[in-house]
Amino acid sequence: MNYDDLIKYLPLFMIVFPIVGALITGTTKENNDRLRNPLAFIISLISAAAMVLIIFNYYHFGGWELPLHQIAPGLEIKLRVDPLAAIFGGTAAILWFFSVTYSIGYMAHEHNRRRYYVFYLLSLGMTMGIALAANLLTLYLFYEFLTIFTYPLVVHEGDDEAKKSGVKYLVYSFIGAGLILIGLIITYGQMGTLEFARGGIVDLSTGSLTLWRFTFLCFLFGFGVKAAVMPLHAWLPAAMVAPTPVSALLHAVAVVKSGVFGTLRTMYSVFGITALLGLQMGYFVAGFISLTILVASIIAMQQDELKKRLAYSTISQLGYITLGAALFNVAGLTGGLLHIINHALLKITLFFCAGAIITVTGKKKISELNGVGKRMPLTMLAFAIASIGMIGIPPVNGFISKWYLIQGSLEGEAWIFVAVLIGSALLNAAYFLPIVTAAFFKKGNFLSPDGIEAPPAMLIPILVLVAGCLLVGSNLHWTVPYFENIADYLFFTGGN
Amino acid sequence: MHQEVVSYLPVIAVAIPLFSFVMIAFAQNLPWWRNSWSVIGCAGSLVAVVMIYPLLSAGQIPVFELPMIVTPYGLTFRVDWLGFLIALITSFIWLMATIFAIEYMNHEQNRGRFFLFFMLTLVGTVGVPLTGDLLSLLFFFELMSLSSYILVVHNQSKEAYSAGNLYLYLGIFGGMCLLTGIGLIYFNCGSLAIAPQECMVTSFNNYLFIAGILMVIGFGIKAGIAPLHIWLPRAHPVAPAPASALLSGLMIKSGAYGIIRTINMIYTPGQDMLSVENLSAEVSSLWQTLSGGGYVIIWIGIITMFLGACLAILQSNIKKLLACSSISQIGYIIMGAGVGAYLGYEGAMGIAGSAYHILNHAFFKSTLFLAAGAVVYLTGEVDMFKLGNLKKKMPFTAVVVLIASLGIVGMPLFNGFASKTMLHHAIVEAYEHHGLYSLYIAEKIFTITGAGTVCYFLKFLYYTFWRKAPAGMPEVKKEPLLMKASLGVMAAVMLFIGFSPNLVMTKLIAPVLNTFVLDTHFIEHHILHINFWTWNDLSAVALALALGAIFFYLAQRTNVYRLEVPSWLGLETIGNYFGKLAIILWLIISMPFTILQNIINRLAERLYKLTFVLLQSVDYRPGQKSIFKSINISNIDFDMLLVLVSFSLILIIVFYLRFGTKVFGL
Repeated sequence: MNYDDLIKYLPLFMIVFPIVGALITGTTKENNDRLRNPLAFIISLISAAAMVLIIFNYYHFGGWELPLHQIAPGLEIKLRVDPLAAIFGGTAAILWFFSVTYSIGYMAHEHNRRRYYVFYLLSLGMTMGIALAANLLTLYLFYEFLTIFTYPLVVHEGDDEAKKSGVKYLVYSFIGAGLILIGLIITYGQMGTLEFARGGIVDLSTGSLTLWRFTFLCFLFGFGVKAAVMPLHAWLPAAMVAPTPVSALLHAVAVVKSGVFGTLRTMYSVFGITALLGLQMGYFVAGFISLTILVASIIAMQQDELKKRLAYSTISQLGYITLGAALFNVAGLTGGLLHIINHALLKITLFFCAGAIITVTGKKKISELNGVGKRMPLTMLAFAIASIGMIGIPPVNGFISKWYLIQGSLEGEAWIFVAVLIGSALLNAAYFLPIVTAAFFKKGNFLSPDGIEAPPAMLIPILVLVAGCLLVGSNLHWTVPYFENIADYLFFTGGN
Repeated sequence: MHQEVVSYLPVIAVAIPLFSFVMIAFAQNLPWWRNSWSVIGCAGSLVAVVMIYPLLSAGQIPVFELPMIVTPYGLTFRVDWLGFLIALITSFIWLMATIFAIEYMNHEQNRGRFFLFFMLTLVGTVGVPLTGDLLSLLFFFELMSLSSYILVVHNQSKEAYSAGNLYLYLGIFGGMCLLTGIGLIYFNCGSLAIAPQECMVTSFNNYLFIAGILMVIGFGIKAGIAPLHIWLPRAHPVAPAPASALLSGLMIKSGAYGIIRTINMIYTPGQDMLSVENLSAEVSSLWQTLSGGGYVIIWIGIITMFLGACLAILQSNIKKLLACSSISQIGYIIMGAGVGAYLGYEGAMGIAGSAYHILNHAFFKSTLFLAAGAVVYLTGEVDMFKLGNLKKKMPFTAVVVLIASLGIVGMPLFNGFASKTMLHHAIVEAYEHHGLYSLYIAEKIFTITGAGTVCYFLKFLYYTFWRKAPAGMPEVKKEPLLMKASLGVMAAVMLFIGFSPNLVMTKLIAPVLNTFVLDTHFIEHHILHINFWTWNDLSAVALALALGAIFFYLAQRTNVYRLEVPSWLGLETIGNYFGKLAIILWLIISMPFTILQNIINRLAERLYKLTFVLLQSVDYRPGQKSIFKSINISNIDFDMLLVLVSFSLILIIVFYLRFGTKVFGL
């Protein structure tokens, strides 16, 4: 086997390796942290490296496919590397590595660590499967598995509240998956294929417009469950009972982003821009999402529990991505795609900070955090910077996606969405900045730390990620040109 | 014409303080280290800015571009005369304030943090005038706005915290207004240049109109124009004196600078447009629109200056008095910009007056705040009714304050005289242009405000420095050398400007006008050869002084100064009213959303309970006989094993079937 073959099988490796790694991790003894922690660390590191290798190859030699198994004509298990896959897979794999590192610090005093790590790595494999899927069937398969494998992480605490949340999570997810399945069946029945293609596979003339609209809505709300679109969001705040690394990763990066990713896939790889414009549902979707953005922000303001506030903020920010995609122009889509990475970086930083605060001080409520900046200056500084990014102020990375979204809204002649974006930014300021100002400038009972303010395994990821936020936000040539190209690529209208 | 040359100087002017910031961050608690890095940061920035002067005099415009940094269109620097003027006074006064702060901060906590963000704020403030496009400007503006917040809340008292909150949130609101405005301009014009935009002539539309309003609001919040000034009298006094000197002396100028750039530059037709034959209708319609906007801004300026003076007369806290005076003086500057826009092509006098007053006010207001800081530092008291006779105990400070006060009231031979005279000329010209009666009234309010300024500065001087010391006045320490040094340098500069108004005029202010689209003939005749020593101007000053003295005497006799401001009119109460109003509005706005949320939650809960009960019924509980013993949601270890084993089996089989032949050669 030569190098090219190895590269060819890398997508499969991305899925199998974390699973195998998880199985190996599962063989360690419950208390054998000295073996398991490095093992998990190395597995996630190798996965991230392999993903970087895939992206590198994609960038230089273009995408490739890897058929695995054919069930029936048109129904295949198949992997493919394309730009969307690169964005989502790359973000998830790299951030997974950081959160495994963080978990080593966070989970040190938790119970059932073995189960935790096993499912943590399994979820990585499933997320990679979602990212690299070449058709709806494969995507759906891994999507379901992701739900199942993240369930034990959500109910990790094992108390009644956790179990209740866990069931909520399962119920919501399966409802969503059911909707996706309906859409999938209709699409297969009409088109005879489920393959993702540049420019889409759906031909609106094969069915009535109502049918296709129904299908589109099935997909939108099906994936919308994981993307926490407003009426279907209730599982996300409830799932905040999970340990913080889980909340951070699964509920700010992987699971919710897989929902958004699914939406993007449906829009641009299944329907395609021509069919989407034919459906004439852009304003409906964008309006619906705007409601989510604003309502979630307003609810976030009323939350006193830090992680819940972050959860509602996630709901609101995910709306940006879908909004960008639903504007149906290149600038808007660029903004949406940029926000995948930017929001992931910012939100994972915020969650890590919240987790560090919980571990060090045991405080979960915002009202108890007055003066915590004295005890944890670096953590709160990171929190402050990420908050500024969330509001969308340069040079932190949230700004750039907001700028493109504004341009996209104007291009779509929909100034109302500019108002939504700016209003949401102000709301973001209203619910993030009080935390920061109270932490630094209100009197509290916290004392200065002696030594390091938090375990290094937690503090280092926080600092690296916040530095990443600043660097990505200020060095735009790292992201913007590529994302503009990708948005252009997805706007493929010619050909078929 | 101007010729653009690539030059590192503007970047260096920003980079040196940024580097100092990093250096201070590493050793916040080493006084020697942080003091020297602070001074190096300011001085380096000053040197870099000064070195731009030869370039500009030679008719060159230094530009520099960092592609794809911070904004997708690059971080661009482009320094013209207006930018240079602002950057010069910024870095110079910052240096003086830093020297002052080294001594002053001895009696404050958290010195490391103060100096750290003092530097970062400099990066933002000096960056604003040096940038060449709107997004870069926004970046530095936000940097300034956010980092100065930390200076405002420095002493962490309850008062500082609430003032800081107001400052922060209004700042962010302003920033978002700017972002929207800039977004609209970029979308409609396709350009972010801070220059007369072509599209303003060719395709002026409602979007651009709204963008202009948003920009004025965004910059206006920072400048403190009425009615957006509410944060200013609360935020400026609570900051440590060097910080309030810079907030009042320089940072509000960034807002004024932005307004001048917007209404006098971006929204004007370019020089090349004026001569295009078939665009003359569009050009004149843009001048018309601009003139309407200028009229509104003149009145905003007039109201701001009058309101500020009224507020200042009622203050007893030295720093509050100075902060209200800042509102009043920023009104002058805004009015000048408004006249510039109102008169359009002939508006040189207004812009020149504004620019000149920016320079002057920066000097005297920072000096006054620093002097107030010295008073606070040496006596520990900010209430002027508890002070007195400081001219004996702090003679040096008293002289400096006298110089600055004479400047601010517009006494001939001191530095405020020339700029106030020019602004007075400007408002008179505006009145004479169309002969609007309302502008005649505006001119009268201008004069009365001048008298008000005299009145409150007489109050300040009399109570703090000149009258006999009241009983129970605190001990006064000796004036430290560093404070004297920085105050002395400022006073010397002010005296120099005051004695040679024409020199400053020709060397610094008149070139500024060349960057705007203005009638060169007018500049040649009315600005360059302006004579400040005419009977008209001197009599106007004399009138203001006399009126002010009478006001002061009357107020003294009727005891207006001791008047307790009725609680419903006080600054805090008004602020609270606004706060309460905002909360009520907020409740009304958010009510439908909350109701919606409740409905959604109820529905979801109902649905979820149904399913939960279903699942619970098959769940195994200890001690319960059940068919599905293996389905155990409560203890998932077993499930995990099951899932893992089956899943790995499936994978192995699939893998073997599919790739067995290739990989293992089977």
